[in-house]
Order: sequence, then structure tokens, then C-alpha cells
Amino acid sequence: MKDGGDIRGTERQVLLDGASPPARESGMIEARDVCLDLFTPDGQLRILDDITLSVRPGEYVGVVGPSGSGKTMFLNMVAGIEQRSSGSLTVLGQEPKAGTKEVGYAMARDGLLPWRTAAENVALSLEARGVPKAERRERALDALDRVGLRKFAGAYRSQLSQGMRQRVALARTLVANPQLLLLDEPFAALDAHTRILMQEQLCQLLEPYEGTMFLVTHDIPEAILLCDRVLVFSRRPATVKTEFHIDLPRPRSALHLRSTAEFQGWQARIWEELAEEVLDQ
Amino acid sequence: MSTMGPGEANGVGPTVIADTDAPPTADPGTSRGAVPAPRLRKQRGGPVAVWTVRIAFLVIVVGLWQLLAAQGTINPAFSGEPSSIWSSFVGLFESPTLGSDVWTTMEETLAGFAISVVLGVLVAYWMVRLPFLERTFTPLATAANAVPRIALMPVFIIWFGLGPASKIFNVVSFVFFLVLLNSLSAFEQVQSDRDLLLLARTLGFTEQQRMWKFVLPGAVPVLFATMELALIYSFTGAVIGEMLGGYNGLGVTIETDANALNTNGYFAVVLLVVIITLLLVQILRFIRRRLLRWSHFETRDSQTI
Repeated sequence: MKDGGDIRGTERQVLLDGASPPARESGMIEARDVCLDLFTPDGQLRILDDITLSVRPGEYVGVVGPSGSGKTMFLNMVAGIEQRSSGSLTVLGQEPKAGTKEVGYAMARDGLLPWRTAAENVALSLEARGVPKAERRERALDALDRVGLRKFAGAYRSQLSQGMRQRVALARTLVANPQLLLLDEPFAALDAHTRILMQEQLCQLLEPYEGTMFLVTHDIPEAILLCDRVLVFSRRPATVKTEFHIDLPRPRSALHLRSTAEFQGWQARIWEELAEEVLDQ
Repeated sequence: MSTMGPGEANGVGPTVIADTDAPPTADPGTSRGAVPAPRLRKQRGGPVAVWTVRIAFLVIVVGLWQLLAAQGTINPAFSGEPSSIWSSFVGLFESPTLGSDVWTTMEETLAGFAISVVLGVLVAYWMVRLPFLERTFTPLATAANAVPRIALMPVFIIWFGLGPASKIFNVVSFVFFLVLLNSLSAFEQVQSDRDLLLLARTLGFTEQQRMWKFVLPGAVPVLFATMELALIYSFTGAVIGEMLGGYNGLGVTIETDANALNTNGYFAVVLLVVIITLLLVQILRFIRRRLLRWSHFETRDSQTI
């Protein structure tokens, strides 16, 4: 279960209509010695130092690391909106490029357009892909249904709670049915209880998803719950410090897992690694 | 703006979904499950109180004016007298030239307003699209906006004659830079939201799509506020232009009355100008409300909290 390309068995289905099969011939993300230097008034600052990692098709991989370790920077590179300083990085076998159809990026902030209703916001993902209007609406409503917000299709951003906004943003990412799902602290803005509920919901949503997920978070339980593999980034300049293969059986449920000794064992082991980086700054 | 499902949110009123994680099925009473915003604090003074104080204030000011003029404390020949102003105002509508005066001024105002808004927004759009243009011309636009345009009106009359053309040019010189500079800062404000830019890029929108789907709709509230200001300035620009020299129009009437020391007639025309301006602004606000339902929710949202 640890190393196979097909991690969660063969019964998985397509999450939303119109999925193309994942590219299995190469890794979804291949990073080799990726470095990032920023130029500050005090001189050059190394953020990422020789990041080498690989994400296989169908795999769910999470990155945890201390604040300011450049996790999000790395994710932005994968999304093609940040340039690396050196090293090689391919996404779906190609140089990362912003706006790639097969990649869906859910950022930490919901980024909903206040002048659009929830359904119109979700449909935004499809507009760039030239999907006809009627189909856009159909698929947007379907995606809202999946995050439990069908009834709020006509609501504006200001009428939705923060948790709902986050779910709409998630629906906007999922509606285009990307092969590679990039998530940056998807629930960081939420209160603790809502966050657990959202994580549970995302876990259920991802169960039938055939694509690959790459998650950046500071929330260890979230990473354990959702991922097959968790990478710990060191503090700046960040490298991949440790790698954990989470062999908890699927389907997983946060509400059940959290109290199990196994889950807490994972949490303790990852935190032990992370604590050195967080506390020793 | 895309208008997918325009009817869906109709009749909802300013609502805020208060409960963070209640499933939408929890309140089947409303079609969309939205619950009305709780009244956090009772607002002091409803519309009745507002209107009572507003009217009382006007009555006091006008009454005081009337009283002082009637007593001879102020000279009605110079200050006018509300009762006489009112009869002059009513008399205006019997004047055979009123229609053509109003029409001329409106024509100049609306033509100048339309030209300024279209040109101003268009130029601002291209300045935002092409940063070189923006860097080059923003200081020039600011400088041009600082020129005292009233002082140039005689030149405009020499160039374009005493007819409406010189007034329209005057209005454009008043209003174009105002629209340009305000639109520019509105666009820049929307563009400064880095998350929205990144979202547009990761979703794969082209530069032009980004402008149309992200920047322009976001700037619409400020554009409307600018248009309201522009409308008032357009009217002022047209009237001032006429006062400085013209064949007919409300400004010409004002100038004639002032020269003849017909103070009551003068104030009557000024009152008419105010009423027409308010009517135009109301039309603009009506359009704004229809177009910007979302903005209405946003402001209500922040007001209730």
C-alpha cells in the first residue's frame, strides 16, 4: 500500500463528469533540487533548499512545515505562479504553467467574487475552459450539491458564512475535475469545529476521486486524515526532512479516526519531527 | 457581468447566513435556506424620524429666511424672499422659453457627461492594460485636472462659438479628468487584490478576460459613485458655461435675472437646477441599485455588524 501507484484500490470512480484518465506514464509532480531565493534589503534569502520529491498519479500527498518555511511558495511553483531559482520541476510531465486545465488550485483565501452568486463563482472555473453556458450552470449546481450547498446557489458571498465560502471555493476547484488537485491550507480560516466538519466532508469527497492531491497545511491531523503520505518540511531554508507513509485504511472518517490510538500515534510522530523545526527557531 | 440565474436571489432582501455550519436543509422554510440577519442592535431613528427632522430643518431655515425678509432685517431685493421665489418658480412654467432653456442645458449636460464617462473609463481601461501609458500620462492628467477650467471658458467660446458646442467642451473639460482619475484608482484598487489576480491566472484566464471578469465588475461600485459626481459637475459645467456666454439655457436665464436684480427669479431658476440635478441623480441611483444587488448586500452586511 505504501509504494504502489494505485493506492486506494480500483473501485474508485470519477468525482465529477468529464474526467480524463490520470497521466500514469510519469509522476504528477517531480521536483529535483528545487531552490528558491528571495532578494530582501538584507541580501539574498534562501527559502527553499534542494527540495526533491515526487508525487505519483492517484496519490494524496501532504506537506506540513513550520510557518514561513515556504510550503505555499512551493505549491505556487507547482501551480506555475511562482518561479524557482534553480532545480528541475515538472507537473504532469511538463514545465509548470499557470492555467493548466488539468490542475486545480484551491488557495487559502476563498477568493469568491462578491458580484457573483455561488453558482456563478463555481462556474468561473469552466469559463476559462470554454464550456458552454448551459453546461456550466449544470455542472456548477452539481458541484455545489457535492459540497452540500445546492440550496445556496443564488447566494452572494456576503450572504455566506466563512465555512460556506470555503466550500464554494472547493466546489469551484472540483467542478473542472482536475487530475491534480492542489490545496493550500484549505480550512485555515475556519474555527476549530467547523474545520473538523470540513475535513470530514473533504475526506468523503475525495474518497471516490481518481486524481492526485497535493496538500499544504500546518494542521497535522488534517494531513494524516487526507493523505497517503505526509512530508515534513524543515524550517527555512526548507528541505524535505522526513516522510511518513500513512497506512490507515480507507475509507477514513475523521470522527472515528481522531480518537484511535493509531491516529494519535501518527500525530505524535509527525509532531515530534515538526516540533524541532517549529520550536527551535 | 454574467447574469446566470438572475431570478434566483430575488426577493431575498439583505440576509446574512448566520449559522456557520448548519446544513442547508436545517431551515426548509425558505427556498434557499437563507435565514434573515438577526437584528444585533436596534437602529436609532427609523425613516419616520429621519424625515421628520429633515423637513423640520428645512421649514426652520426657509421660515427664518421668510421672517427676516418680511421684517426687513435682510433686504429682499438682494436676498430674495421664499414666498416670492416660490411664485417666481411657479411662474417659470408659464414662460414660453422655459422648455427650450431646460432642453438646451440638458442637452449640453448629458452630451458632455456621456462623452466624459465613455472617454474617461475607456482611457483608464487602456492605461491599466498598458502600464507604460499609465506611468507616462497619469501625472499629465493630474496636472490637467488642476487647470482652472472656468478661466478657459472664454477661450472655448472663441473656439466653438456661443452655441452648445462650447458648453459641451466646457463640461468635458470639467468632468473627463475626474472620471479618468477616479476610474484609474478604482481599477488599481481592484487589481491590488493579489489573490484575485492569482486566481485569474491559475484558472487560465487571458489578460482581457481578467479585465472583464475580475477588474471591471469590481470597479463598478466606484464607477457609479464617480458617475454621480460627474453628473452633478456636468450640470454645473453647462450652467456656468451658459452664464459666461450663450444664446439660451438655464445659465443664461440665471445670468439675465442676476443682471436685472431679479433676485427671486434668479433663485427660482437655481431651485429648478437643483431639482433637475436631483432627478438625474435619482435615475442613476435607481440603475445602480438594479445592477449592484450584491453590493447592497455587502454594505448591509457590514452595517448590521
